[in-house]
Amino acid sequence: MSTPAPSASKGTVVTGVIGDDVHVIGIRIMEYALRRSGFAVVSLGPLASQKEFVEAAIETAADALFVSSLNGHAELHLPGLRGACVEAGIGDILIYAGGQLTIRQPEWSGVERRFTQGMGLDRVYPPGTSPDVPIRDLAADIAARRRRAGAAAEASE
Amino acid sequence: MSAATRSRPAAAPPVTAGRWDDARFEAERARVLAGWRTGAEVDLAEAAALHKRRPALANVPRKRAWGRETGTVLIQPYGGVTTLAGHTELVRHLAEVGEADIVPTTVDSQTRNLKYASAEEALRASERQGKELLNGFPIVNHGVRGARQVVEAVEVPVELRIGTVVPQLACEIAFAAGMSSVTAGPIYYTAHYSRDTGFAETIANWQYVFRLIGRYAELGVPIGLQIHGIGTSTPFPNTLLGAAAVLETLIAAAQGARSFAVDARLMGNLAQDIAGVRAIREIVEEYVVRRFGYADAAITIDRKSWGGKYPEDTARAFGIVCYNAVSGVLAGADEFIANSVQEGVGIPLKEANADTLKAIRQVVGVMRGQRAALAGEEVETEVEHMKAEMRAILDAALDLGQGDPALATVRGFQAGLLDIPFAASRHCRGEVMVARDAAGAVRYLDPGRVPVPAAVLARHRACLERRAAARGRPIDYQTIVDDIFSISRGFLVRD
Ligand code: B12
Repeated sequence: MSTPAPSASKGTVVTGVIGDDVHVIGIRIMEYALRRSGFAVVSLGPLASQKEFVEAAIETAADALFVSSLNGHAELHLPGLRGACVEAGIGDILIYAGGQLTIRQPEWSGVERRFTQGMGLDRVYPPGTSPDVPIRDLAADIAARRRRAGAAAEASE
Repeated sequence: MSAATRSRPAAAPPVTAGRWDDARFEAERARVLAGWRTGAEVDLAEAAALHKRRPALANVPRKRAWGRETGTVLIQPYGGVTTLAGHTELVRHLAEVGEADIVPTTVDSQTRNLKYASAEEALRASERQGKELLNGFPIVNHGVRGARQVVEAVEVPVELRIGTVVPQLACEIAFAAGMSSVTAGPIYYTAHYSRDTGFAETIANWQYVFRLIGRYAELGVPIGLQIHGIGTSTPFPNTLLGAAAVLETLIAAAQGARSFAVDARLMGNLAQDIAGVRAIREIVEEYVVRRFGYADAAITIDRKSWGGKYPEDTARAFGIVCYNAVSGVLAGADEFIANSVQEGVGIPLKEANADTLKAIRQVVGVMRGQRAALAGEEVETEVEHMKAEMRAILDAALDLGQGDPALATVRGFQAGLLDIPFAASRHCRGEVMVARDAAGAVRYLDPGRVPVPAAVLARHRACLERRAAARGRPIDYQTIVDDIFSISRGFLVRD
């Protein structure tokens, strides 16, 4: 496991492949791209439970969870993850998911809705997503949050 | 996780390939069968009688032996869905329309991780909703009675396909239901299907299955193994697969297994892939039959297609399927294990799966009897280098393991003599790095601690240097990533 982000880092991301899934190649490539773009990565690897994601996020004060799932069981393992974060006091952490979230490939907009609105994830990506797309989104999402947090801190001073 | 199958006695026995004594097997068996309610349906004597009532060629080892004797190339798809009705219909379609020689029963990943209760829930929900919600057939939940209906639905034999470090109960159910082979073994599944489980633990879990196969053999029922060795789903040298396949075969043979279909995988470069089948066959025979003396071991080589990312476009996937068929026939492979043309889409529809088999059958049929062999210097050099490399790896590992293949496995991975890129397991060092040369052949960028002979390594390095020179850029991590995606994009290398 890599060390937590230095404060100068663009942010800290906990990565892993959730539940009973071992498809680890894609997330490894994603991790490499994240590190190269200046993010600190805490890698859980395959077969990672919701509990491991939450604990690692708390331990490293992570900005985001990158949850990978390819084997078709995302709908068994992702529900409840947002709730578990809320319960652990990190309810507003960014949660992205990617890989192949369904058995076969039903129409994407429906899948996206189920995982974002339905399960409370921030962003989900279809199969074949190249790493630079989520990395760009992440940088923007973190920057927006830091701006908001900064403004809130100023207002309370 | 079912404590019954998972917990081991306080002091785990030392790692050795030695045959389990009856007491150990029986004690373990009681625990395994108590892992889920359907374990109670297993009755060895009754199962052996059932196997014997089936036609001879409805048995995987006999079918493979028949294929080899008659020069018939066998074709087996992948496939498994959640419900009994769905899966029965699937295997029937694959056998009748796809004319599969062996039909698969691919098990879902909840079962592979002993989550029988949640598999049960998903199975019931699938039945209620008329959908297939799991990524395979939950064989333990269906039990012996359910799985028997699958076996009895077809006249061809059934192979259980299950990547797991805890195979015991699923294999008990499958064999008792009349399935006569399973995909194995401890090295591949530790590397790619687990994160924390050590090689020693997986070896013990699989030794149980191998001993169970030994028991069936003693009752006159041959049960086969498809041996994976250590492949991976990114480009890798087939030599790593071959060396690990020898160890897996030896570990299985020690418990009484005798029928081995050993993988060789398509990487893409025709000369190298042809050499791979030949070199693996020769090395497995050399070590298993001659050095270790299993004179009655039956060894066939199956050609696996490209195991990594596929194009989503099924027309392009047909291109890969047919190219693999050509290369496999030229290499003299005995069997094809066929990813469907919907590999890049998702769990395939039965129609697309059967169509894939027809495409392969067409290629095999047209090439039959031509005896065309892509020989010549390139292939011969590759075969010699591959054999030298496999011997070097095996001899170093066996040395470290004092001649015991199980100990050689555990110590070999610890020392990094055995290694593979992009493993899921933290017990693989992952120091070895590979990339394609300008002709798409797979070469060591860095062998890590794998004892690749100097002459072999020098040739690999020279090949990669030629690619780097030709494109005017060094081979780096981005190249490795590009090489992972290249086949799905329509080429081996495009610099
Ligand atoms: C390689 C592979 C395997 C290997 C995995 C090796 C390993 N340890 O990683 C092995 C052989 C072990 C394997 C096993 C199984 N597999 Co598999 N496998 C594949 C295959 C061929 C390629 C996957 C891959 O490596 N892609 C390459 C990587 C680089 O791409 P990627 O993962 O998509 O990742 C990229 C992006 O998606 C993105 N990304 C990934 N994750 C995330 C996460 C976030 C947050 C973000 C932002 C982005 C992101 O970044 C990556 C870089 O670009 C696919 C089929 C295909 N697509 O071609 C099937 C496939 C995924 N497997 C499948 C299945 C079902 C299984 C099995 C259950 C067996 C079975 N029934 O067939 C077992 C499951 C074992 C388990 N417990 O999970 C199915 C899934 C079905 C579905 N979803 O409909 C597929 C689609 C095959 C099929 N057509 O049936 N498999």
